[in-house]
Amino acid sequence: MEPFIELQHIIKLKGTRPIIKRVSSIFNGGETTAIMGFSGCGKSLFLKIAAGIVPPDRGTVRFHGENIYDMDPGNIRLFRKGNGFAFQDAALWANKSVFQNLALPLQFHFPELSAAEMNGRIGKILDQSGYRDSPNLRPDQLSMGERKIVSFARAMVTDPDILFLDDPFSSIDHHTIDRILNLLKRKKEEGVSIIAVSHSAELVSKLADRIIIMHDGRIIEQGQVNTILNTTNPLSSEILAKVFTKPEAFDSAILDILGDDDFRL
Amino acid sequence: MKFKIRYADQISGIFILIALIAIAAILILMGVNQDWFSKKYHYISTFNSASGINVGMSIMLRGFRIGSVEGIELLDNENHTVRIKFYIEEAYIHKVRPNSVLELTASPLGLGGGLQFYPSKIPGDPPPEGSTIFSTDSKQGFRLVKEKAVSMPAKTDTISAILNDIQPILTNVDEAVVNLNTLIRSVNSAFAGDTSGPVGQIMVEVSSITSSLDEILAEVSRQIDDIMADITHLTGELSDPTGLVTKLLDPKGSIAAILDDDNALFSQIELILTNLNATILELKDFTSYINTTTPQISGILEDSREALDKGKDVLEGLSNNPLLRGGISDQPQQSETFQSYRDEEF
Amino acid sequence: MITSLGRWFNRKVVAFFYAMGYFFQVLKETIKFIMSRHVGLKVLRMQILFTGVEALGITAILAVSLGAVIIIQGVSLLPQFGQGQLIYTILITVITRELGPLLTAFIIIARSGTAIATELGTMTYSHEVEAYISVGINPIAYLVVPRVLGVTISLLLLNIYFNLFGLIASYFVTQFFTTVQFLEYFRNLLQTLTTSDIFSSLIKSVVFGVIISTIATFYGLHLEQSSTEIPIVVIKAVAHSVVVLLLADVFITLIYYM
Repeated sequence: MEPFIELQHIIKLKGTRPIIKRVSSIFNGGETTAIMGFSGCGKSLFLKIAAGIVPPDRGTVRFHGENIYDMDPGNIRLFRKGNGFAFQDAALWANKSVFQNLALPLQFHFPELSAAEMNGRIGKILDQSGYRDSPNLRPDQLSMGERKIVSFARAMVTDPDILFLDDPFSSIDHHTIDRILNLLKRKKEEGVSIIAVSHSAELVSKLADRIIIMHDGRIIEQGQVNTILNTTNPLSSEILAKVFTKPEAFDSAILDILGDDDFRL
Repeated sequence: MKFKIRYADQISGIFILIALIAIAAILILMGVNQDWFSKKYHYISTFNSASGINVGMSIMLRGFRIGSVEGIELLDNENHTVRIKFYIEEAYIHKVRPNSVLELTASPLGLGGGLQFYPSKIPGDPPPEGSTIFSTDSKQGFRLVKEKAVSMPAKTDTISAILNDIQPILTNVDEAVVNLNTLIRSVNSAFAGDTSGPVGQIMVEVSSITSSLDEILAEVSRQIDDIMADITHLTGELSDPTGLVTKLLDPKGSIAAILDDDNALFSQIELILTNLNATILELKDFTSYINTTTPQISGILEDSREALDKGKDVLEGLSNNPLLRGGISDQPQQSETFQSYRDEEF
Repeated sequence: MITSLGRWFNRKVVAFFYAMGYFFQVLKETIKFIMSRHVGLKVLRMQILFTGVEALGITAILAVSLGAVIIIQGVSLLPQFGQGQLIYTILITVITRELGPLLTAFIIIARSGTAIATELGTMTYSHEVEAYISVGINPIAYLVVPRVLGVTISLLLLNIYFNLFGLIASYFVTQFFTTVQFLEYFRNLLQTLTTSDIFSSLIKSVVFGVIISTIATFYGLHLEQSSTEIPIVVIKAVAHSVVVLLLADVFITLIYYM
């Protein structure tokens, strides 16, 4: 797997105080990475910097070797077309209906699509994501869970190569989470790279190839799932314990990954 | 969906369209009203000062805008006069006749005002473009206005009406002053003997008599001298018993016969001389009388002129009241025609 | 003391250049927007509807009242000095050249400047702006430019309406009090009106529109991460708009008279 997103010495300041402290990481194509850490450790910000949404104050973010904050408009458009971002708070456009929220990225990146094609594509992704309400509703008429589903659908609607998911499963029921996980699994099999900030044991156990553990604006550990789950770092262990003490963690999938001997929580 | 949102495009379209049509219509109407598309005839004029004149100021003819000021420049000459460039619109060009006049009118309270165009009363073709239209600041313009060679409208507002009534008075006063001046000049000329009037003639005659008298006196004096010389000679002769005189004085001689007339001849000569003397004395009296009275007459006349001048200033001051008009206009002081008797040393 | 002064000054200089950078970015994107049709056209149409059409009522009331007051006062007062004609100059100076652009700009600040700052502030707070970036839509091109254009076009059009109402509709209102003939009034108005009056008025509208919308969008997008900042950015947007507007007005009027 070739590295396609590379972050080097990233520093992000809030006023004069650094909140991301000289962080470096590499994401490989087709790989699924789970970013974990306590609240306020800078996971979401790190994800947005990696996705080219928030520029860092220092350091570089490269996409196939090219700094995404120096890209020409044509390349940045291609980069955006190839990735989707699902926000933690859904971040749906409040003045647009669900349908319009999904239609805008399509209109922007695929202006050649006919209305029928667009309708079909939007209907399909909403169905796959588990959205059951009317696509003509506005975001403020939806529950938080529904909004998150729509946000996920919006990230998926352009068939991206990279998916950035910021805590995608919070406020969503288990049934829908299963639907989304199955969808993500299929996408992963199709070669889509997934970078997710998540405290979901299912996502880690069923999808993740790599884990990044962050604390206080730094990456304290990153590596293959097996390696990280066997960490000796007490802070990492504490963070992982918070994820895996949940009942759903003890499913067969995670036992498959860890093996009975190595499972020490 | 709300009506407004559903028909947003149509409503916005109408909103834009009406505004664009309105502005286009106003521009077209402005163009028609302000004769943008008609030819403009350009002229120049000269003023003493540019104060009150602006670029874009209207040239008015009896309340109609017939043109506009295009530019103002300070001329580099001794009088520091100001040249304005202006145009007259095609529709009014026939009003521009040779010897028309331009006047800058200040309005009451110093508001507004404008450049008034007074066409000449004598018809004629418009002067060629670029030529000068006299302003009232120029001598020619002032003269044309004074001679009423241009058509000036009667003022309309109340103050102007009052001022209009004052105008004839001012004109009369002006004329009176001019007449007085002429009179004083005539009297002076009369005393100087330069005129053909009665007083002048007397003076001429007196003068010629005086000069003739001088000649006569000189002649008389010369003859008396001759006589005296003869008398001396005669005395000499008389002292010579053999001389001619003795002979003549011989009681039977000729002179004795002439002189022996009971002093008739002598009395005659004496009478002539006495009369002559009296005439000279009278002439002297008359001359000194005239000399003493002339300054008084002149002074009285001068006083009258000054009084009238002041009266004229007061009336003009009223007419040009700073609150109502442009203040008292500067007037070059006319030099007095004759020295007042007060100026003479007693 | 000196250090804090220096720091304050540095911050101000940085903020100024940041704002200038933002302004040029907006300008660049506006030109691009005009050159090519965009998805933002709908936002532009809606902005014209909200800023222009919906403000027409208040603009009309203000313009008609102002025009009527000037006509009534002028018609009763000016002829006493023999200056009846001055009414047209006063009307044009007040309505066309000065208060038309300024009052419509104030209406727009009050209605749309605050609305734009609040809307964009809320969008920034709820990460909607980041969502636009994430799908590749430049928020300046999609959110700011249509608003700048919408506000500017609306202000320009509202100014034209203000003039129509202030100069013509106000005449009909005054017919209850005065007896000026319409044709005479209209002809004199057209005689007094110059192209530079119209040009200066329209230029002011355009400049004011750009100022109001740029400042409102700038502060709207300038929000950090708290909803309590929204009223603060709205107040800042209004205050800065008014100050910059008045400075620009003085500047344009000075250029006009120079």
